[in-house]
This record gives sequence, structure tokens and C-alpha cells, in this order.
Amino acid sequence: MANTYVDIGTGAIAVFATSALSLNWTSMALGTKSIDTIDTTHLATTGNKTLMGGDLSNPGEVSFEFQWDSENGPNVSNVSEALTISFPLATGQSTKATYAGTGLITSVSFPTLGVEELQTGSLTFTFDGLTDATYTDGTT
Amino acid sequence: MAFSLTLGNHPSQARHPVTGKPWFDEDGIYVPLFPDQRSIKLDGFVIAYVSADGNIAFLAPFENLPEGCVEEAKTLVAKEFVEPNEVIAPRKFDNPEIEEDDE
Repeated sequence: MANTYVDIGTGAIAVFATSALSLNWTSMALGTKSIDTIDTTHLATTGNKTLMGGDLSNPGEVSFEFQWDSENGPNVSNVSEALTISFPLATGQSTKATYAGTGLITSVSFPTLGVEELQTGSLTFTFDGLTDATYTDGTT
Repeated sequence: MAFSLTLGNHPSQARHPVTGKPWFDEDGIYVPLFPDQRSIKLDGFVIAYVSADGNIAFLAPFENLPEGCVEEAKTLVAKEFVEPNEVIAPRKFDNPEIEEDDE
């Protein structure tokens, strides 16, 4: 079946509910959500080792790159806040897909100041697992 | 006013705590991931999120919104949800030094 809603990343938006951080984002790497596997192999196992999935998932982290704003520099924080990343609205959709959850800004990389070089920074938002990092499909 | 603003739930949908599948209530309505947040729709399209703190975060630059939309949104939020706090939007690139270089 053809995928109607394949799109590029331009137009994606990140909203931080508490810090109200607003920057010119150039990249958002939404990272990986995963669960661990537990080895259940025993002495009578034949053929392959056996594995079972754990009950707990690793919520992951989001890595952002942005144009540094010298009046709005971000900082690390130990305060949990909600992050909502809205995907670009694909043609025919009325509601954007979102990836959202709660977490913390756990690292900020400051810009390199170079001759004729745009100042850019990066930050990492680590999901805390209190509100599950959740992807929601867009709708038509 | 040639546009319609409405306040609704945040569009992200919670997952059912037992099944892990997208969660709908008994009436078939999706359960929001953030029950303490809202979204603002302009003519049916989500254009902003509103936090419980009253922060209104638009998803488009102010310049792209209809005239009067921001003030109308603040009035709507104050009337139906919470007193507005910060109002933010993505900004267009506006480095004056680079603009001067281009001239």
C-alpha cells in the first residue's frame, strides 16, 4: 500500500510547556525508545538462545540543534516539563502527528564562535518516563 | 472576525496502561497524554498549545497568523482555561547584521 503521508522534516515545531523555550531549530533527532531483552536460555534449550521482553521501556532522549540566540540561551534544568514535537502537516491532514512526553533538559552545548560562522548550539532533552514518550499519528 | 478559534484537548494521545495501544474512553474519544494542557484550533487546525501555567506556544510565526488571532486566542484561553502567561511563536530569522550584508 502506498504511503500517502511521507514528508520531509521542514516545519517541525518543538514546544516546551514550562520553560517556553523558543529557538530556531535546525534539527531534532527524536532518538530511540526501546525495551531490554532478558535471556531465558537454560540447559535444555535447543537451536537458539531464547529471550523475553522486559516490562519496562527506556524512554530515550531527543537531541536538538539550533541557531544560538544570545537573548534566549537555554540552560540545563532539573525541573520536569512536557515537550511536544509536532511533525509537519502533510498534505490532506488536519492534525499533525506528535511525539510528546515529560523530561528534563540534561545538556546544552554552547556555540563555536568562528569568523563568518553562524552560532549554533545543541541540547539534549531526556525523557523521565513519568509521562510516557508517546507518538501520536496525525489525522485527516 | 473571519476566522474561528476553538479550545480543545492536547492532541497527543495517551497509551492504555495495560494494552499499550492508543487509549480511547468509553465514548470513543481519545484520552489526552497531557490532561492539564489544551490546544487551540484555527478553523479546525491546531495552531497552539496551552500549558497549565498559561504559556501559549503558537506553531507558526506571529507574522503568519491572521490579524487579531493572538489577542483572540488569549481572550479564549482566559475565558475557558487559565490566565495567559507567556505567548511565544517560532521566529523568522531576523539577524540585522546579515540583513545589512545582503543589501
